[in-house]
Amino acid sequence: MSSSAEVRARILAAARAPSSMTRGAARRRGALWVALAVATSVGVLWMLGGVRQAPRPRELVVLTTLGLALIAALVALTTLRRGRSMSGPPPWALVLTTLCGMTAMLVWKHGVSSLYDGMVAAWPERPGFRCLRLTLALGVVPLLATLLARRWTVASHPGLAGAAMGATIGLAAMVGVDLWCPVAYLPHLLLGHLLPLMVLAAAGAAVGRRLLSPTGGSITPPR
Amino acid sequence: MFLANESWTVIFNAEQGDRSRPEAAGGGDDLEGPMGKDVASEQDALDGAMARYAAGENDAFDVVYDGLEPWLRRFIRRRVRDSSQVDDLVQRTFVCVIRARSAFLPGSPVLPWVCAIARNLLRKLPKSARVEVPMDLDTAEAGTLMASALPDAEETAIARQTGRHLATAFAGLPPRQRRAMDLVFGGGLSHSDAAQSLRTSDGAVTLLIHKARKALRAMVLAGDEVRR
Repeated sequence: MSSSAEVRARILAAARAPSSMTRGAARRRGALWVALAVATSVGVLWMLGGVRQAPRPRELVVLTTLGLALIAALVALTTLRRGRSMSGPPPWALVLTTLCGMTAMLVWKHGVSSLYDGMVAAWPERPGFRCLRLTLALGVVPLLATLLARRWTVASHPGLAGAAMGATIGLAAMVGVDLWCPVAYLPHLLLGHLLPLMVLAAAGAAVGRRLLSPTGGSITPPR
Repeated sequence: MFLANESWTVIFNAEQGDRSRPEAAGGGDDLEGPMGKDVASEQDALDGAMARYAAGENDAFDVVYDGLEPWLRRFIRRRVRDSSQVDDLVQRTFVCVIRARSAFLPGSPVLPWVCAIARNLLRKLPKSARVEVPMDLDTAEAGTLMASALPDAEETAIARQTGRHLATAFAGLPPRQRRAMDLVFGGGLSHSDAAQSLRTSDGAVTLLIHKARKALRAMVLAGDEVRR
C-alpha cells in the first residue's frame, strides 16, 4: 500500500494535468456541440422536405407547433437546466415532468387537430413509421451532444437524468416533426410520436449512466 | 464511532432540539467536520477553493485535497469491509472530482457533491465488500468503547449489550432516516449539506433525524425493559 504522502503527491499532480477541463472551457465546448447538433437536426429536416403544411390549415400548423415548442421548453426548464444545485432536480420531479410533457404533447396535438374538420381522421397508409424514424433522426445527435455537454455533471441518478434528457430532446424534435407531419389520429401519434420519445429516453438512460455520472466510465487512479 | 461515543448524548438529548451541526456539541472523532472545529468558515474556504479550482486555478486543489482527504478516508473506511480498499477508493474519488471539476458550481458546497461521488463508487463494489449499515454496527466495539469509561463490571456488560442493541436498532431504521443520521452524525455534514445530498429540504432532514432519534430511543428503551 502506498503512503499517504505518495498518494497526496500523485493526486495533486493529476489535479494539475491539463486533461481536466475548467468550467469556462466546458461551457464553450458544450455550447459548440449543442449548436452543431441543432444545425444537424435542421439540416436533416430540410433534406427530408422541410415544412409540409398540406392538408392542414396554416393556423393549425402554427398552433400545434407553437404549443409543442412551449411544452418542450417547459419540460427542458426542469430536465436540462442545472440551476444552482449540484444535485439537480429530485427524481420525482424528473419523472413527473417527463410524463406530463409526453402526455401534454399527445393531448395538444390530438386535441387541437380534432377542432378542425377531418384532421384526426384515420390514415391507414401512414401508420407512423416515417415519423418514428424522423423523430429519431432529428433527436439522436442533439441527445448525444447534450449528454456530452453535461458530461460528469450529474452525481445522483444519472440514468434517470439521462432518460429525462432523452425524452426532452424527443419533445424538441417533435416540433420539427410536427412541421412535417399532418397526421393526428391516435394510433399514428402513439407509434410515430410517442414511441420515439420512449426510445430516446431509454437511450438517454443507457448512455447517461456512463456519461453523466462523475464516476462513469473507467477511473484509473494516478500512478 | 458515532454510536460508540455519542449515542446516548445524541439520542437521549433529542428533546433539547436538533443541532444544525453535530460537531457544535464537541465529542467523537467522526462528529467533527472535515476540517476540525471552526467548521463553518473552513467549509466556506473549502468550497471557495473548489470553485477556484473549477475556474482553472490549479493550486487551489491543494486546499481541497487537504481539507477533504481525512473526512473522505473516514467516510469510506466506515463503508468497506476490507480496509486495504480505502486508499484506492479515496484516490478514485479524487480522480472523479478532478475530471468533473468543470461540473462544480461556484457557491455550492463541495462536501455533499464529493459524498455523492464516493457513494456512487462504493455502490460499484460487490455487495460482499460493502458495509450496508455503516455505523460500526455488527460489533460489540461500540459497547466496548462506551464500557471503557465505566468502572463497574455490571455497567460494562450493560453498556456492551446496549451498544449491540443500539446497533441493531439503527439497522432497523427506515433507509432514509438511517441515511440522514449517517450523513449528519457519521459524515459530519450540516443539515443543509445533508439535505442537498438527500435531495430534500433542511426541514425534512431535521424531521428525519428527529424521527430516527425518537425511534432509536424507543427501541433501546424497549430493549432495556426486556433485559430487566
